[in-house]
Amino acid sequence: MQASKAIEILQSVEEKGTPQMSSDEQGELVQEGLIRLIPQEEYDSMQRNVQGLDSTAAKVKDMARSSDSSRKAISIRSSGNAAPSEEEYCRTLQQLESMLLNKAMLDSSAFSPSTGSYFLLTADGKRTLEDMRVWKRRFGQLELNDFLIKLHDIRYELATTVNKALNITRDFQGFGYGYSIPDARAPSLMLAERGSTAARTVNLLNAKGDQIAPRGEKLMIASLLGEKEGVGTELVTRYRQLTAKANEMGMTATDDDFRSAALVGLPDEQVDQVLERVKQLKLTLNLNENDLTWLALSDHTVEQSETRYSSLLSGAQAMGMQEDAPLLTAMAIMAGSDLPENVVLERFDFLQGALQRNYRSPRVAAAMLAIGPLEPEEALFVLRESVGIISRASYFDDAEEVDNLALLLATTNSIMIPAAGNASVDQSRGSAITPGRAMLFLTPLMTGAFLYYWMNQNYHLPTIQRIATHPMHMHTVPYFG
Amino acid sequence: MTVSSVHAPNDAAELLRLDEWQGTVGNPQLRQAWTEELAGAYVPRLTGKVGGWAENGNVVHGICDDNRSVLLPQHRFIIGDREYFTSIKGCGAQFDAFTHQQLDEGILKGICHDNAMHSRLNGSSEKVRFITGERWYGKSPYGAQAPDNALLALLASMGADVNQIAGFHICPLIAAVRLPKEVERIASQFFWYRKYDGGYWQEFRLMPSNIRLYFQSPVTFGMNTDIAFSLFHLDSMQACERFLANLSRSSLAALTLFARSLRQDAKNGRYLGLEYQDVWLDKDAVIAPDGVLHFADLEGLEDEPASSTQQVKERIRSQFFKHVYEVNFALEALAVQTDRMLALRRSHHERRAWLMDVMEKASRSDGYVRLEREGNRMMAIVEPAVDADRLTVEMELFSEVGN
Repeated sequence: MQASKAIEILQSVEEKGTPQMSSDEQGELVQEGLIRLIPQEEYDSMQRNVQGLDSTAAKVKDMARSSDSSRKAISIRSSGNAAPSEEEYCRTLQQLESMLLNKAMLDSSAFSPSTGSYFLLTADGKRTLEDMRVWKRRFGQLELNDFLIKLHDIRYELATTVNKALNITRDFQGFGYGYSIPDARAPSLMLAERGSTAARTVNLLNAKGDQIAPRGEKLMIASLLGEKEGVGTELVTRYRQLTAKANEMGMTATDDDFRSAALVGLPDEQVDQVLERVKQLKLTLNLNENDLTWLALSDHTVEQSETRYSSLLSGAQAMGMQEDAPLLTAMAIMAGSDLPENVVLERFDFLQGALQRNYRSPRVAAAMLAIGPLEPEEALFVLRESVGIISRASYFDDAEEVDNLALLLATTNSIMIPAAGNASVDQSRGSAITPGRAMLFLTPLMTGAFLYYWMNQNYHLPTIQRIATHPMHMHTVPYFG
Repeated sequence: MTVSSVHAPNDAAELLRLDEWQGTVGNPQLRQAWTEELAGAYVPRLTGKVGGWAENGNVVHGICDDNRSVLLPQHRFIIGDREYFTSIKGCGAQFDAFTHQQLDEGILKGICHDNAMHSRLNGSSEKVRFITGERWYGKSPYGAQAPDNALLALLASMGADVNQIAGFHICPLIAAVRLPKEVERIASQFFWYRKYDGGYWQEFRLMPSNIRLYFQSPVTFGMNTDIAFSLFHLDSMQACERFLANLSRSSLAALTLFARSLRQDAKNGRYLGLEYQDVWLDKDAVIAPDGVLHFADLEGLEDEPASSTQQVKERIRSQFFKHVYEVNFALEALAVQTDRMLALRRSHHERRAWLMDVMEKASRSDGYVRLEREGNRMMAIVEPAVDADRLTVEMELFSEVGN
C-alpha cells in the first residue's frame, strides 16, 4: 500500500468515518501498529460495561466525601455514611477508570463497512497521520513501510546526534579547561553531526599555545576547524594566515573570525577571489564581513548579489517588515542562495510567522530555514522534532537554549534529509530539490559553518549564569513572600 | 512507589542551628518529623556572630528559597506515597527591605541602632542574610515570622488530614518556633523606619518541591516549563497525562476550598469555610513532582463566615473565579510544553480538547466537584461538604469544549 492511500484511511478513522479498505490493507495497518482492531466481542463487552458508568461515578463521589470521616475540625467530611474501607474505595475507583477508558474507546472508534470491523487510531497511527500530512508531497509515493522507515530515520538521526553531543559535552568537561556546559553545547552538537571529537577540538586549541580556557566563541571556532581534514597545527596555522590576510586587506579579523574558519579549506587563489569580492561588496552593502563573505562565496557576481540583496530588502519592506539588523542579515542569507527571489521571500514570510513564538527575533532563523532544501512545513517539522529531542534529553540548562540549539540541529540536519534518497518534490511552488546554496566554492561543511555562525551571532547564549530570580509579582511587593 | 521530592538549584544558604529557643508549638500529626537532628532554632550566621554564639560545628547548609526561607533537603519525611523536605520560613532576609540590593554588612551597619553591635560588623560587601526588626506589612518582623502568622499556619495544619483538607493539598507545618530572646534583642536593633516590638518566630514546613506556579522560585512552572519537565522527569505522553490529571484534580480542589471545607457554625447560625486571605496560587503554591498542587503559605487560610445560602454560593463562585486564571495558566503551560517535548503538531483546539478530556476524567474521583459538558461548554458542578442539596453551584469553567 502506498503511503498516500494509508493517509486516506487513517484520516477517515480519525474522523470516525467509514474508512474504505481491503482486508490486506487493514492487515498491513494493524501490523504496523497504526490502527487497533476491536473484535466484535470486545466491542459488545465495552458497551455493556459503560452502562453502569453513572451509578459507579456517583458511588465514587459518595465514597470520596466520606473517606476521611472521623477526623476532627476542618477535615471532617462525613456525609452520614460509614466510611468505606480503603480497599473498597480503590476497587470502585478502578472500576470507574475502566469504564471511562471503555467509553473513550467507544467514542473514538470507527467502523469499516468493507471489512465489517471496528477500529481505533493508535498513538503511532495518529503520529504517522501527522507525519504524512507534512511529508506527503516528498515521500507520498513511497510504500507505507518505506515511508515509516524514512520518518523513523529522520527522528533517529536527530536523537543520535543529541546523544552523541551529550557525550562530547561531558568530554569537554573532562578536559578540565573550565568550559561552561552551555558554552560547550553548540560546539558539541556540531562535532556530533560531523563525527568529530572534543579531543580533536581541544588539540586544535592547544596547537598554537592557546592553553588558556577559551570563551565560547573560541571553542566554536576550534570546533569548525575540527571538522576539516588535516593536521591540527597546520589548520591553526592556516587559520592564523587567513585572519592576517584579511587584516592586511583592511578587514576586521579577530580570534572569533568565523569567515577565516570557513575559508581554511580553500587554496590561496580562491581565498583571494573571495576576499576581493567581500571588499567590493562592502562598498555598497551595509553588512558585517561574515555576511558579506557568505554573499562573496555565492555563484552570483558582485553586481548580481547587490541586486538580489536590494530587491529582497525592498520586497520585505513592501510586505510591511520593519528594517532592523536581523532583517538585513536575513536578506543577505537569502541573497546568497540560488532560489528565485519571490520564492525565497514567500518561504521566509511563512517561516517567520510560524517562528514568532519560538524566537524573540525569528528573522534570521526563518532565513536559515528558508534557504534549506526542505519545504517550509518540512523544515518546521524537523525543527519541532529537534525541540522535542533536546527537551527530552534535557540537553539544556536555560529554557532559551532549547530553541536555539534546535535551530542548529534542524538546519544542519535538513541538508542531509533529501540526500538520503527517494526525494520527490513537487516543484510547482518553486521548491528547492537541492539545497538553496549553489555556491562558488562552498562545500556542505562550509554551509554548516555559516549556519553555525548565524546561530551563534543571533541566538547562542554564551555563558548562562543561573541566578535566583525574584520577579515582580502583580499582587504584592516584589521579592517578598 | 514513593514520589521523591525535587528541588530546583538555587544559591546555597548557611544557617547557625541553636539548641535554645523560647517556645515550640508542634503539630501532633507530624511529631515524627521533628527529629533530634532537626529540632532547634535556625538563624543567619551573621546573627550568630553579632550575638557571640560559638559555631562549634552547628552550621547547617541549605538552599535559598524566596527571600526569607531556606530549604533543608537533608531533612526528608514521607507522607502517604510522597516525600517532602523541610523548609524553614523566617530564618533571615536576603534582600534590603527597600531596594533591590542583597543585604551585606555595609547595609546592616546603616540600619543598626546599637553601638556595640555596630562595632561587631566589619562593613564588608559579602552577601548575607539577616533577621531584622523592621516592622513589615504591619505586623511581621522583616526576615522572620510574626507569631500570629506562624500559629495560624500551624492551626491550619493541625486541622488538616496531615497534608490535605478534603483533597486540597497543603505543605503542612511540623512546628512553629519562637526564637531565643537574645536573637530578638539583636534583630530589634536593626530597622529602617519602624521598629517591630513583638515575638520573632519561624515556621518549619514540609514541601514536595520548590517549583511554584509562576513567581518567587528559581524555576517556576509557568516561566520555565521546559526545566520543570526535566526536573520532574516528564518524558512521555503517559507521564504527562498522569501529571495533568493530578494537577487538574488538585487545582480544582484549590479552587473549591471554601465548598469542601464548608461546615455549619450552629452556635452562630451560619456557615464557615476556608478562604484565601492575601495569598495567591501563583506565588504561594508549589507543584509536587507528580503534579499535585500544594498550598504553601498556610497563614493565608482563614475561616470566612457566610450567613445565608445565597452568601455561601457567592463565596464559592468568587473564590473559584478569582483564582481560575492562575490554574488555567499552569494547565496551558503544561499542554504547550507536552507538545514541544513530544514534537506533537496539535492545534490549539486539539490541545484544549485533550486538556478537558483528561480534566473531566480526573474530576470523577473528586467528592466535591465534577466537570461535565453542557452543550459546547465545560461546567464545574460544586457540591459543598454540607447541605449539598441546597448549596450546589454550577459554574462555567470553559466556554468552548470542541471535539
